Amino acid sequence: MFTTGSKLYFGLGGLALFALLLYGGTTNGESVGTMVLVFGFVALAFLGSVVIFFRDAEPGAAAVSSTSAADAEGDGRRGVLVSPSVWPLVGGFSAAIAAVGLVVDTRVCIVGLVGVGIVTIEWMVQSWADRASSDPSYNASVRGRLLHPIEFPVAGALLVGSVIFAFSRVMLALPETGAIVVFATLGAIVLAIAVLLSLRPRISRNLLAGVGLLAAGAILAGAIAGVANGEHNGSAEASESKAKAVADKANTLATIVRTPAGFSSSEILVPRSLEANLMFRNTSGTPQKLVVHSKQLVTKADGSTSEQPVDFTTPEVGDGKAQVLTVRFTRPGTYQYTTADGGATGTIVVP
Amino acid sequence: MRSLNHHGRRLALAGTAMLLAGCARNAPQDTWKPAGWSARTIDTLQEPIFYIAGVIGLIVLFAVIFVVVKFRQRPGDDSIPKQVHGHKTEVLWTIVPALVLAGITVPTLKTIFTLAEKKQSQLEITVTGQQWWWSFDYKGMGAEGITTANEMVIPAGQQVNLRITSRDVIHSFWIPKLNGKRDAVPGRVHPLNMSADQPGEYWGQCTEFCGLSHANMRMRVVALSADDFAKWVANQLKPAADPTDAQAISGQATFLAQCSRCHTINGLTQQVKQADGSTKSEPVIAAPEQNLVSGIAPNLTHLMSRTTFAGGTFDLKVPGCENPSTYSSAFTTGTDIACLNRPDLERWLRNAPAMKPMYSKLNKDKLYRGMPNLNLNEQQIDDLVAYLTTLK
Repeated sequence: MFTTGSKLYFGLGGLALFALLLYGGTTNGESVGTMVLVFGFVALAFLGSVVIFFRDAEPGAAAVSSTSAADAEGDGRRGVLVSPSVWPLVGGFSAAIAAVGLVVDTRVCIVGLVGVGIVTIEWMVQSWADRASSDPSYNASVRGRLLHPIEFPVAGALLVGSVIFAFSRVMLALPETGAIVVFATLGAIVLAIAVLLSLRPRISRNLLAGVGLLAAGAILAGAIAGVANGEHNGSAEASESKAKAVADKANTLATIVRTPAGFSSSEILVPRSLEANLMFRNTSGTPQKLVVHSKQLVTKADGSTSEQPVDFTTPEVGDGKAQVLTVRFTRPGTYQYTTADGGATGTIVVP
Repeated sequence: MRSLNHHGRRLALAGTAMLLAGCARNAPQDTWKPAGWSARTIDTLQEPIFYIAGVIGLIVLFAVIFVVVKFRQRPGDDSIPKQVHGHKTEVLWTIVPALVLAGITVPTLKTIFTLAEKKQSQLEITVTGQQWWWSFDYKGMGAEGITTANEMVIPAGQQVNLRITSRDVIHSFWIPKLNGKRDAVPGRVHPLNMSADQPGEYWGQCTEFCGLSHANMRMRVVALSADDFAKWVANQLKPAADPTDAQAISGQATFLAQCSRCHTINGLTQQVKQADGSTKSEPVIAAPEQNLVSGIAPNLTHLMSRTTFAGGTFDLKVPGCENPSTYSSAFTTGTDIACLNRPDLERWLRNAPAMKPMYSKLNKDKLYRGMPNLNLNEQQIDDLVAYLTTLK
């Protein structure tokens, strides 16, 4: 009943449905992404139905039986010049992504255009290879000889990169103890599977492929969940850029604590021309802003130079919260840091 | 056959040279002779593991040699040897190394956490790496702080807290006799505790490839007794004295014209013409951020209180004038004209990039990496040396 083309579309639709359920579940039904996946699922299901109705566009009952027979045999295309190709579909998706990217984000458009470029090359080479001879297996080997030296390394790099990226998203989302538990368990599972495989050397390729697919799916699902939930934030600290939060917290040159009585430390040393993170922690009982008064050398149009004041300021930091401020002093001297209400003063020494 | 003997002899010679190099006495960067708490803690861990690993390595080596010799292919025998699959052997040679590693893990983790413990210290120094020298900023020392280069002076027997970072690329701070390696990463601050048991000089170098002169990015830690350290601090807090000698005065003028774009000398002033035609003495503030990629050049206020220059690559003192091996407070007297390594200092001023590989051309942002060739004439060089020797 199901033609080859319909299996493709329904399969993709199934993937879209799985992605929809996963994405919707982990993001509490975030509207744009969920909508895209819903429409993707509906469109693919519709296309699959159309393709069944038209029996893959092959006219007559003979085409039906030959299609079914080919499916049953697993190879119904001996002697047919043109091999089935997924590139038109990929090309269509890439073009659609490029078009969407024109509106949404340039990077998405670039991804789409790269996809179109890849499709162009692959489809051209496949068409050329299909005309090399009347033997499909020879044609496939000719195509492989040309493109496999490029496809395999790129696919391998993409696969490794995806796994590494997925691992990094999972690690960033987990708290410290959780990360230890998850990755220790993962290591134990990998070891157990390896031991089982070593005890059964004659294991079927399908089983191995299934295990690999499950593992890839699990890693991908974990990565999606990690990205959706965001990076783990163990304390109440904020940062202007969420991506810098973890690094900034761990790499402060000095901590300035605003207490009800003033600043806890009255003097800080910041080496000259060094980009330094200062952690401002507010325990004063009221929201505060830290202001660091600096100077920098400015060259005027006539070539002369003069020092101009430059202030580094945090946004308003609530009581009990913290904020990182990145400063860079290019001129030596002593500088003041204050709160915006002027209620406390400290000194930064730049040797 | 001749070629094989020839290569074999070369290999034997190289191997012998390497072996003998490992037997150097009093090597200044010998990790096997720790001189501070951190290095001793690491040595306590690595020494037994080294011997265990050595024994295991020898066992494996002899096993491999035995197998290679006993089961080598005999002439005329092209048969495939019987393939044996021994579960017990394989389980054994998986479990035994795993147990050895587990045994090593426990003291290793313990040592890592011990070294990472933050210890309270009166002295905190910010160590900053930049191409291709190290700067040291001492916290809480006077109104303007103390900044030195190439040599970090610490009190012997006292814990020092270092905060290690970088202004440009990744470097790595390592004084083999005092501490393990710690990377200096731009935008990050890596803490490190260090102490030196006894007064002395401890050599180190950058251990993360950082560009053309990575091999020439060296430093020394000078540990002084408490009294000598106090003397050193007091001297470092003084601004540079104005020269009185005519040649040194001329050298100061050359410094103002050529060197003060990048190098700072605390207390250096110059007469600046005011709008009303009068002159006023104003401090000279260098602008290395406008000339150098790293945005900083070594502070030369007390250049002659050091024993090296150019990123610790060259000695300021001639042989025979170095500190004696039984360390004394001669370090605090600095380098005088009689001990000065004048030829190297003059060569450096004549053409620095020729002595130490640096990018001698401006980059696309019109900044240098390292010191450029200033094209000074011989008179200017002589005057500069005369001035620099007053910076004690």
